[in-house]
Amino acid sequence: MNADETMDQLRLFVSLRALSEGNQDLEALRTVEAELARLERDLAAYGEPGECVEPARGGPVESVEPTRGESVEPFHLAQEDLDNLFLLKMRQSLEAEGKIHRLAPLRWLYGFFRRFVLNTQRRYNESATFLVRRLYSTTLLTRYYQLRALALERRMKEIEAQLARLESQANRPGACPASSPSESRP
Amino acid sequence: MTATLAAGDAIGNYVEMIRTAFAPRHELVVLADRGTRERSFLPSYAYVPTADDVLWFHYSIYSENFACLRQRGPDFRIMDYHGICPPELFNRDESEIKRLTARAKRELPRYRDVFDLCLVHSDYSERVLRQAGYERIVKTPLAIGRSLAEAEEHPFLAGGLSQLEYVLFVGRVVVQKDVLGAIELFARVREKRPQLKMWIVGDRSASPDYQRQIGDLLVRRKIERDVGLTGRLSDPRLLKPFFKYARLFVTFSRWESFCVPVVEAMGFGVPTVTTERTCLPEIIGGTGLIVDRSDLDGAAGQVATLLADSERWGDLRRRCLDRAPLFTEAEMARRLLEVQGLHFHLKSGPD
Repeated sequence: MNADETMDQLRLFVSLRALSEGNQDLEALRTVEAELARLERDLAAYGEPGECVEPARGGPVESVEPTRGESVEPFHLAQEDLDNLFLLKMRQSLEAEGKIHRLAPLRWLYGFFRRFVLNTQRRYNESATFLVRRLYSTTLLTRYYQLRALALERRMKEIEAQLARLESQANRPGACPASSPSESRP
Repeated sequence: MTATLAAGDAIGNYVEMIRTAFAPRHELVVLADRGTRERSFLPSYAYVPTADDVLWFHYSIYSENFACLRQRGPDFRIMDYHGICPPELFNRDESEIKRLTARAKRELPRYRDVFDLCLVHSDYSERVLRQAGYERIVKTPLAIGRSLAEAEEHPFLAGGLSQLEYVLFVGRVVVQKDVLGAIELFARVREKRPQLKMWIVGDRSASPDYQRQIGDLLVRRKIERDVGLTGRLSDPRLLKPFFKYARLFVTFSRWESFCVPVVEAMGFGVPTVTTERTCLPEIIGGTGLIVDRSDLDGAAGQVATLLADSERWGDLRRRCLDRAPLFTEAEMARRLLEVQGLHFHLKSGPD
């Protein structure tokens, strides 16, 4: 494995850890999204039979039955939507600046307003952003592990087919006993 | 008492070290205005001072806990001066934190009679406090957390990272840390050493604008695949291999009052590349490379030469390991107990 591939593997590992622990890092979301796209392409090329995609919570269960060469249903938020989730934080910057601070009564009124109105709004925004991101990252992780399970299943089938081939070769009259299959890794 | 208590960050680790240092003899209650759910604490307003209490006040950004500094109490008060980042070093989308630091800075001279003793962690911080009119100041360096030093490294990360040649940055990814500068340096060094990689370990939740600038820079310099951004890693088993297998630690921070990741890197024998800014040359103390931020091409040449010169790199590594014991938890506990002795001396009436 070269250095770039090692970097990719490590990047995916830390991203999955981050999302599993609830850290909502944009880079982690993008890395897992890219890995999902790669797995989807691989599986579609192989022609995985029907798989069920269940959204994180509540939504309808989608059933996808691609044939060989068809891509499985893409699963991602548009980049714009993803960026907006992170921009919500910027929009919370509702602090008035400048002249309002120069007059004492206005400063007091503004302090009162900020404490009881803006802070409530900020906290609401923070909670909403947190929940949406959490839901999205949970959905991504669920989808990732589904695809990984499918990829492993595919690998198992390949190994079984190879074993069956070797067995049939060994059972053929006059054939030498087969040595153990040289699998690179499970 | 601190403004914010988060598990795994410098302040969170420091509070744990204080707890360990004083635990056998004293009861320690942690008070904070906000924090992460992994750490338990009482709200700051729950503090009722008595003559038997020592208030260990962590002074950084302005917070609600400043209310208890408005008047002198019967307790003994120690200011643990973390330092205040200059407000101009915050990005335009960090207006709230900018306001809080500006206020903490403005109010600093007001409390010189409220504290009985001040603790600083570098000569730079001591100068700042003296300029603000403070007098009883004791310097105690911060330490490398025992949890990091003793952690068992994650085998998958250790296996992968040990195969790479990479430079490391650890810290919050914000304007103050000048992460863009560190990435620019890496991009230039990589032109001379194409196998070199970079890992940036740290919280990226602040300043979306700055995060976008970093993403744009990686694309512009075509190094997206060569730079790994992990986000915040609070688990020492994950953090340890990043330090252990790094070739160099890079920080171009525009302001620091101590910089714990630099001494953590030192503990693993990893030399630091930094600039002549605030306290960083004082902390690394000849165990790293000090470069000129305004001449990144020259700096990249120096770094590439160091990476190619295994003898010189080995010498810096040895110096790091020799200096690191100054920043162990045991050493810090010894210094803190000296402060405790000073407390009793002051309380019983100094000459």
